[in-house]
Amino acid sequence: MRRPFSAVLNELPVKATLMKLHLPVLLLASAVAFAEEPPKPKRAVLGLESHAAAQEEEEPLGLEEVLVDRVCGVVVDKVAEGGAAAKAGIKAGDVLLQFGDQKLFTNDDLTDQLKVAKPGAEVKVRLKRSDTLKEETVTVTLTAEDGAAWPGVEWTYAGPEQLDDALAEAKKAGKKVLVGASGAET
Amino acid sequence: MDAETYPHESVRAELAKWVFDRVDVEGERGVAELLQVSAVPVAVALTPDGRVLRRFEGHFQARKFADLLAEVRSSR
Repeated sequence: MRRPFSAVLNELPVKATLMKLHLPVLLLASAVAFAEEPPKPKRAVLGLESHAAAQEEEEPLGLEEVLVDRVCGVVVDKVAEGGAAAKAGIKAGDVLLQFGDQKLFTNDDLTDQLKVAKPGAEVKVRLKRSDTLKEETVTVTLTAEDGAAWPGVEWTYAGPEQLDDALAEAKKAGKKVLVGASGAET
Repeated sequence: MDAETYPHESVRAELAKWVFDRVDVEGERGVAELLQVSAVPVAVALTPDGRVLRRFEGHFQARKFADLLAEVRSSR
């Protein structure tokens, strides 16, 4: 039989008292949030870290800057192993020039495109190689934010309910549970 | 950890033998507090009844992390 999370809490040598006070509120809050909002669609990701080639992200665009040929490109700092960018052959050091129809001048140009893109979508990315200095166009198949960039590993962001589900699933499957917490910088 | 350790082949193979979840420490203070997350990155191994088996604090090299996970997985 599945044990309620509150029963598990009693056995944890953690801030259980504090949590027992907060848990009903947390569960209520998540239940209300769940009732009012449909589940969030998964965000599309490219699987890389980058910075703008030109340091003009803070400057508002004037007519002149639109008319003259500004420095175009977003430099790839790091590519996640097994991610969408890696699979398309994008490497650290490459400069991304265009994502679909959008020319890339700043990192925001790229993140704005990803906000409206759907996981699974195929997007043509024009880039300049850092080794050959040649321009190429590659096709990237975007992945979903939740773990799809790590093939074979499924995970969700754990809230109290997901943790409860994870413990129940582990019991059923005879497995153990690993909860990983990372900040934005990792 | 997210950039190099978790995506590594050896860690992915090991994680397939676990029920794996992530915590967004900013968004889920409740779970973060429950698991006593005071600094990231951290990974907490639990038994199905919620007992903490081991806490992996800080960065780990991928193969080392996979080995440690396998060790904890086969422990009681």
